[in-house]
Amino acid sequence: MRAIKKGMERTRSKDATITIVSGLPRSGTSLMMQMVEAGGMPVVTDNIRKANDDNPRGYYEFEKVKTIKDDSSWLPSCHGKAFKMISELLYHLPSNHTYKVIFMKREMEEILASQGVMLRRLGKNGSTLGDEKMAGSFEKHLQYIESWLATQSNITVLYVKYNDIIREPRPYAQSLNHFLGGWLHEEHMTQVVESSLYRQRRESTVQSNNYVDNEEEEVKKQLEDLGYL
Amino acid sequence: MAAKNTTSRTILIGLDGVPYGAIKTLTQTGIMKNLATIIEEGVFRKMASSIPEISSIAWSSIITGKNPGEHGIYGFVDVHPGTYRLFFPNFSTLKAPPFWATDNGRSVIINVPSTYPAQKINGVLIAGFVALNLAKAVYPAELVPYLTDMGYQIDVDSGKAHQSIDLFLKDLDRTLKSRITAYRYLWDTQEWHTFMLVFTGTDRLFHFLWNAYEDPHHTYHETVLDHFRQIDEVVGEIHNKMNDDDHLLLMSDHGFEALTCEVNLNYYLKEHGFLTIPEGKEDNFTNIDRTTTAFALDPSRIYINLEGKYPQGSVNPEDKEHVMDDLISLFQSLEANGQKVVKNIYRGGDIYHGPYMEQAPDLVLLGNKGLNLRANIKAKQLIDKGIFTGKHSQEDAFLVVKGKKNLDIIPEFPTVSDIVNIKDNLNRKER
Repeated sequence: MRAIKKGMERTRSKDATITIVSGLPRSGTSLMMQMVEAGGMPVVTDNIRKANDDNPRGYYEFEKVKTIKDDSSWLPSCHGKAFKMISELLYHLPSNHTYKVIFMKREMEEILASQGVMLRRLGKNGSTLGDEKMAGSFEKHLQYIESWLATQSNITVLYVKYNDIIREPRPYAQSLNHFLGGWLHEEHMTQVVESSLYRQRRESTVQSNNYVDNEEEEVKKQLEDLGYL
Repeated sequence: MAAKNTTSRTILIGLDGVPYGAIKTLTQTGIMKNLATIIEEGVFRKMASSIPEISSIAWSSIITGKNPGEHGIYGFVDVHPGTYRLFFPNFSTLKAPPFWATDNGRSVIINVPSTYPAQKINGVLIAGFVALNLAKAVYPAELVPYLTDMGYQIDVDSGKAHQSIDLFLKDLDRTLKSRITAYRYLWDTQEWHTFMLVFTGTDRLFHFLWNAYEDPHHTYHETVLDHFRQIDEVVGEIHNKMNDDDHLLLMSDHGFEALTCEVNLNYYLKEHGFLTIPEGKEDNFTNIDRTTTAFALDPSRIYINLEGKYPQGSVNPEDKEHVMDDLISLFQSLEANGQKVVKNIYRGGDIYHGPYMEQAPDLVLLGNKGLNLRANIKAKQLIDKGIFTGKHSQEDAFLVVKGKKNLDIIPEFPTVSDIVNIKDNLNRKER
């Protein structure tokens, strides 16, 4: 079919690079993955980690990235696509590929607070280091990784501040699109942030208006019972 | 009948999924005697449901007076913009205000589908299907303990019908009785200008026991009729409690008919190369790949896999019209058991209008009699026949309005989106 062929031709021209969304845990990488996906770039995820209150639209995790140090055989299948990888693992990217890294940065206090909320929800105590030491350790890591990235000829990096993108998503959607080749849907990328903000605002005023994670399963069951799904 | 009051009130009674034909039969055979009296003295019309004929869409249109392009509800399930991830729209998703948000007086609203979670109202709201948690289904929250004490049940557990029809019927009866208790309590204890009560057990009954309704010799035929007798008693009770100048509207959101078989649209799209899930991947929407041209969402909404709209979009927007033509030809040739499956194919742009068209399906199919269109992406065959014996129908919902003097304000061929207008015109006329 003509429409499909045209689509395939366009896709091939985008396939040279691997896109990686990176940063510290809870720095806004899932939101960035949503933007990239909404913009039209295929994302690589295994959906093992299900969406929950901490990341209502899912974590976009891809378990294989954790094995990159020992096994990078899966990387060629990620050309023209995006996946998420915590910044600690970037050191292990093989140099025989070209990468575009979108590196999320977020206020350290917010990262620690967000991690704390998530850990409490999971019933875990978190690190024994304490917030101050943890912040110091993260800062040190960021310094090293940024210096290292600056010396990698096969890696281009776009640093994005989570707080700025939340404040004004449209110009960031534009620069993100420019960075990724200029073929993404900026309006959809902007909408993802705006709807995320809308959700947060709504949740702060009305207690959990949407079906939450465990409710969705029950809704699904009730609809299936009546043949609506 | 009660004495004339100085201020007229409006009462709306909903009978989910009850077709015009069934009302005709049940009133003519003495099962619904009270409704027969109201019909005799009033207006009785066949009413068109929403397209597609699904309760979440139809009730959203009934309470807002808007079409899906304006209220944003296109089904029980939808995809997040820019993704293939499914979500279940609810009352928070509704973009247009329900009539009670703009009316001046107090309202009591009981069991209108798709009003969960309950939101602030000048009056009382008990949300309907799909409402999971009574604490989130009721406004104001102070009423929750009263409803809990009276054993209020939001909906029948339809899962029971898959185990035992007897268990299901017991639960259905318990739910109806608790609903009647709640309506009586709120009618007597609340100040109100508009009272809306929806019975949803009727739809559940017809899904599983339409055959029993149609067959006088069926074991459960009388049980089905009894359900309608109980509802008719409530209709009579309300009619008797009304003041002379109060307005009464009774309606369904869609009709019902016998189900012959279910036709799986995504299976058909896959079979003809329009929908692809890569080999080895689970059949779900998030695994749709770039060679996909279109996919279906329940019950019969078709979405073109447009570039720029979806992550794996493959269809250039310039080619959208050609692709729609291809799909129309494809569905026109679809047959099940030697019968043409599709009766009508609508383009989204022809039947919807408003600011929320971005989420609108590109095509909506209406099945021929008895053929239930489904979008189960996991379906392994084109045709299924499950436990259900009845299915929704689009053209034969019903509307009854008390009093013949109002004939001029009821459209000859009303649709679910006309209800708010009719209600408002009745009130205007009174003034």
